[in-house]
Amino acid sequence: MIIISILQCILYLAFIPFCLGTVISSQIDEKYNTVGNTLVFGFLSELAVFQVLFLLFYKLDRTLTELTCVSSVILVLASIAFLIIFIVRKNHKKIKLPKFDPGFGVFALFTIYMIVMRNLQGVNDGDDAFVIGNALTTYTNDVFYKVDYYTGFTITSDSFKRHLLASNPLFIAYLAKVTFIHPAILAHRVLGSFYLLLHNAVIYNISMLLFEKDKAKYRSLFASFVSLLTIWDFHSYLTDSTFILSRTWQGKSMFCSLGIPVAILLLLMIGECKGKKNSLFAAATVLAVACIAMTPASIYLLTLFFMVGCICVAVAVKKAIVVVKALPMALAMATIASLYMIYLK
Amino acid sequence: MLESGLNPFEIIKLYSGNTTFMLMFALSLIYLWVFEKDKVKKAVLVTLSVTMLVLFVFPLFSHFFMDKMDEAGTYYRFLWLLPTSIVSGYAVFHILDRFKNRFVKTGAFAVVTICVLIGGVFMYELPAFFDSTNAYQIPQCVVDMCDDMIVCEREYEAVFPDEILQYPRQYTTYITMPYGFEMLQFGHGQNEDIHSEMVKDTLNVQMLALLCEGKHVHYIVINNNKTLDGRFEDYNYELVGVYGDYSMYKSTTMFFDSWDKFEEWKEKNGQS
Repeated sequence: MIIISILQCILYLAFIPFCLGTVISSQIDEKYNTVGNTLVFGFLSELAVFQVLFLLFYKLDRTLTELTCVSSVILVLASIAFLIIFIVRKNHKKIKLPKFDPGFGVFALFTIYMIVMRNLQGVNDGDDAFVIGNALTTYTNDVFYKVDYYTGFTITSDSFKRHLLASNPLFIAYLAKVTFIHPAILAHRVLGSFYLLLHNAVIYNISMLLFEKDKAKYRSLFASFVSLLTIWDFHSYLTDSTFILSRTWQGKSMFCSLGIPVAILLLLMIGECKGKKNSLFAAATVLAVACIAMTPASIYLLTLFFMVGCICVAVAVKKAIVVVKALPMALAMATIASLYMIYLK
Repeated sequence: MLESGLNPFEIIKLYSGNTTFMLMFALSLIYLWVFEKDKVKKAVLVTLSVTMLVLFVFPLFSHFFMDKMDEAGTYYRFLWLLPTSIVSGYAVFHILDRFKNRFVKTGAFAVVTICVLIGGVFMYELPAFFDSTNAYQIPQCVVDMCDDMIVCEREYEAVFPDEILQYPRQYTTYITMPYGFEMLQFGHGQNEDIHSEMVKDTLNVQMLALLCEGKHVHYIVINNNKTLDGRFEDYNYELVGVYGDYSMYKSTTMFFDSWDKFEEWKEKNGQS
């Protein structure tokens, strides 16, 4: 059973994200077509697909088993199709691995340290009563928001509706169903480690955009320094670093560790990369949908951040089209925000 | 979640903690504003951060989100949009790149790193973290209690003290509770009478046992630091065991076996 669980984890957290990621990463500037970007964009695509399917299945009053079957079939078939396209395409861009030097070794050690600590230390946080409790209740009862995750009785309060669109707890339940791992173990250990890995991959890819040509020697040191600032935080329990390291598997922490850094990565790419950039705006739309799965607050947080960012970049590169191309992302957010109103009724 | 009634500047002050990090971020912004030549990097790292900060403190904007959208408790999340670590890190290496001498460069980097280590707080020493002793990363006493509660694969109802209220249903759905974590999160929920008895410093054992029996609660878990004004044994509950700081009591009148033996149990106990 353990071997099956490991293989399923590899399938859902490595193979599927990698295959889905090739679609976006193969379209971007060859310099940034890295394994990190491929995995990150692929995982966000996987989460976005799950989010859309969840909204549909919730409205249709279907079960977790049905949602699991349909999303698994769609994701696996899409992954195989994209992998075949990637392999057979002539002159496809090579996916780059990071340059292994002593500096990268230090950064890798920081990443490993974070992951080890994630596995050694538990966190006393009440929000887990919702995230893990909801995942376990859905996993056991096979229904969405019918059983109160806090008490185990029929749900009577409307309090769940404020988190209704954020499917992250259900995503944990879905992964628990396919990997046969208890949701608490899956979230605290497997997903916690995986998200830290993705976060550091994004930071490294940001360093590739910030330090180019003769400054490339600073990339690994910069990434290590950012990790140091995260681990050796200066401030309060409210900061993004605290959320990233302590409650890594919770939606709002995912928004801090993946959502915002990926938005910065995309903004830098939109400004710096040459050639067609439509895939970057498509990636921004995927990011928007995935971020709603993390936290409903992303509807206004990410939209505001990305749109203002696009205006800043448009002014910098003197191309107003950048703002126009960012509109589908805002539109996706607005559509899901409207759904929220419909679902609340 | 923050208390409501704070203004944006008070939230920034709370967010900044000992202020060292925010000071470093502010200095980095000023430095990059002056010395960064790449327009895109300046736009994404500096202009965007400053715009977000200005919006955050802008009265109409904060009023809209804090009062109209009722997000006062979570308004601090806008500060997550400031890429503090990335901007600070980028400014540090931008400055280091200006030094031509390798030794000066290394020395300056060492000074910055030492400043970070001295001024910062090691995250894993925060009180929220605890050494996990099991795969679930749930306190071991809760796991042990739950394992001992589940006699057969069916549901049992139990009450827990506030400090461990969040854990049982992360571990198993076989444990149901007359009130759950919503009581702490929202300040209200079902069976508030049992909760109000549970949070007293001196527990009225008779009242608690009667209320729990009335709600068909199989198990009562008590923090050993509480004073009891009676014996649970006198009110149809018996001690099962002590688990760290907690004692677990079990009903002596309720049915614990699997449901297929329920009829047999009913006949034996003369219940209709």
